[in-house]
Amino acid sequence: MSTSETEKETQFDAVYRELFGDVYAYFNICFGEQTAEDLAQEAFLRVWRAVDSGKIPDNWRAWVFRCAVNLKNDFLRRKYAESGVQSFETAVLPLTAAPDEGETLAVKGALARLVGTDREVLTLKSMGFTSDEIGELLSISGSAVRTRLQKAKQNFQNALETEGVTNG
Amino acid sequence: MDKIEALLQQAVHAFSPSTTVRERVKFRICPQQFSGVSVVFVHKDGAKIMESVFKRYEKLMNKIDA
Repeated sequence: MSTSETEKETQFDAVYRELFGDVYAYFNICFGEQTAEDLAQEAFLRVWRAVDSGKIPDNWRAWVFRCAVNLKNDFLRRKYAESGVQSFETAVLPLTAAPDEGETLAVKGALARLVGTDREVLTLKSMGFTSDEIGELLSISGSAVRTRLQKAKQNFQNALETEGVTNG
Repeated sequence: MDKIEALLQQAVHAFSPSTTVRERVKFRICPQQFSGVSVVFVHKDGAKIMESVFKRYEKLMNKIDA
């Protein structure tokens, strides 16, 4: 294997190691495990193509999450056009059986109870994006993000109480 | 960080991928990292050991792809 191929793989490995977990979690929270794996794979195929072609972005995190949000939007367009099911703005996340226990299961359940748009902004915020960065990703203003976050956080708090998780 | 934010981080972390998922997706994107031809010069007694190691490695990779 040539040095440049090794360098490309090293670079890809570094991006994969740093970001795959968050990107997969984002898709998992939006759509569930099965779709998460497919979409995360597609996102990192794009990373590989970028590395392979030498088109390296200044900020991998922002670039990968822009891809992720675009993939999410494409998936939603296909899914709701085909089946006309409940939209992302109103759909909760059906949880599959998981080995989580105790408080982890309860907080996971609380997040799953929220509608898609609430889950999405809370997830991006918890991954360290600022409100303005989230606004750029979602093509809305920073102030709209802050309003959404405030409501989503309140909804999450209510869901925690429903799941029996105390705020003490 | 307030309690709600801490619980939110816990919730988000609970949706993270397992090691199996990580390896499986990586294998699909970069199978060349998991296979290839390597020329290794070993002592003649070491050849059988190397063969056994590579066979086990191949079985493991096939399981990840399943």
